[in-house]
Amino acid sequence: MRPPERVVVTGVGAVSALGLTAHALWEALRDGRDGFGPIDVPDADTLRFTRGAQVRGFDPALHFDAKQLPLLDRFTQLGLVAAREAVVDAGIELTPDLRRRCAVVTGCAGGGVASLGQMYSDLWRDGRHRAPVLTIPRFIPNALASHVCMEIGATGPSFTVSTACASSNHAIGHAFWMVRNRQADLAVTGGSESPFNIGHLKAWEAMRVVAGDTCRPFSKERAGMILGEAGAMLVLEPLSRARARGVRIYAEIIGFGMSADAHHITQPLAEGAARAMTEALLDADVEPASVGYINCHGTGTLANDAMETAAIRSTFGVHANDLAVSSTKSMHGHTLGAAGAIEAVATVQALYFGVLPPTANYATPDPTCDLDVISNVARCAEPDVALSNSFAFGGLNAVLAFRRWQEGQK
Amino acid sequence: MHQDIETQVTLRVAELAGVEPGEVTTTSEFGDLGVDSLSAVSLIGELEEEFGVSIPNDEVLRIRTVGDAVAQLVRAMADGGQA
Repeated sequence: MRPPERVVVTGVGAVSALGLTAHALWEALRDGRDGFGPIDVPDADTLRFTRGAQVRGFDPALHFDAKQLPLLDRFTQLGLVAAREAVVDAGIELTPDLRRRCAVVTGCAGGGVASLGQMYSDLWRDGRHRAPVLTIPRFIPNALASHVCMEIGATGPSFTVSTACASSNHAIGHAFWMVRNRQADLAVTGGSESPFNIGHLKAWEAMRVVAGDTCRPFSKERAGMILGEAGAMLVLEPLSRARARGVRIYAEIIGFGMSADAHHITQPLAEGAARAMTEALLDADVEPASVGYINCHGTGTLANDAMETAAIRSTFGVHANDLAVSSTKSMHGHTLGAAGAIEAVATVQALYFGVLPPTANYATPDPTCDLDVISNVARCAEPDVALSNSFAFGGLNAVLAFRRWQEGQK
Repeated sequence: MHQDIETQVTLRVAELAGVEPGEVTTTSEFGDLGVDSLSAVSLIGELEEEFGVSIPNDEVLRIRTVGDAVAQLVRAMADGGQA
């Protein structure tokens, strides 16, 4: 059996409330600027919360022709544009051989919720007798993976993972493992989500986890998440090919860990989160002390941030005092099934640029979140290893580990 | 009116917890009755709908006992539907 490949990230793409490109995302994260605004959907005035992290200025007609557009729910549009950006960013030529060996793995929590909402509204509010014809192809959560495959001609192992807010970390982790294990020679992976449909938003409202004003992870004043939409994708390839191509390497992806809490459908458990981090470190074969930054799950809910703090303390012991953490959800919002993907992009950008993005809107320290929270202003640092945490409703946890890449390194 | 609300909340909590209404008092904690926070939030959402009121998230998350729930509902009704 051939030895495993080392795997690196050579392309990134992102469409989010912070802008229509990965570069726009990075500029906002670096500047500590959030992308929250009044929620712009019909009947938004019936919601208890008023702000969201919606993608603004995105004109689908600029990206899709009149034949393709009716097939695409917004979550697929956002993901597909991000995938195009990532592939162009990687500068990779998709030869017939490579296409056959290219994996496409995406995460999505809800699928095309706006398309479902439209159907219910047509049937039950407007008294129509037929659902819009394309409801099913627009709704299916794997629509993004399928459209990416069609667009770039990828015919390798491709699928979609749905584990609520951990979806795209599970997706990226499995894509990473396939490239490492030589089941694929290239992976286009990430996720997308667009929860801005009034019915879906009402369901989140009922959960009482969405903040009325803003998202303040790890702060004493935190009162919940701000929902966001995004598409974010990464190109993963073997280090050997990236070197042969002489292209930019954002970071090496070195580990993936998973666990299940087996505890509660909404309440998180620190032991489960800690085990996922430990598994990621074991998979990466690195010491906990090599970790200098964690892009936290950091939803801004009372329960998550205290649980995540306890989990980090239990995983890292005294080293927990020496590693920096932040939640970029304070800026791009909680993008649910796309969260792992946009945070993976943020994490590799942080490693590449040597700048750790802050937790925006941070106010007062909370004794139950007593970590080194990078508050409001980015910090220059060059950690060797960074983790990106995702912990889902349902207690399914997924953690990715990345290593900073230095030119000339072995 | 306060008494009516208390009676109704007590009955609903007893039903949810699967115990006799007599076993539920205003000082009963949801947790002690085996009602976890998700179930309690769900019940309070239903009571909001029934009483035609709205209680802010942070207040709901502070509710620990049957009495807390009653107090929040009473206050919300006194405020004309919005606590």
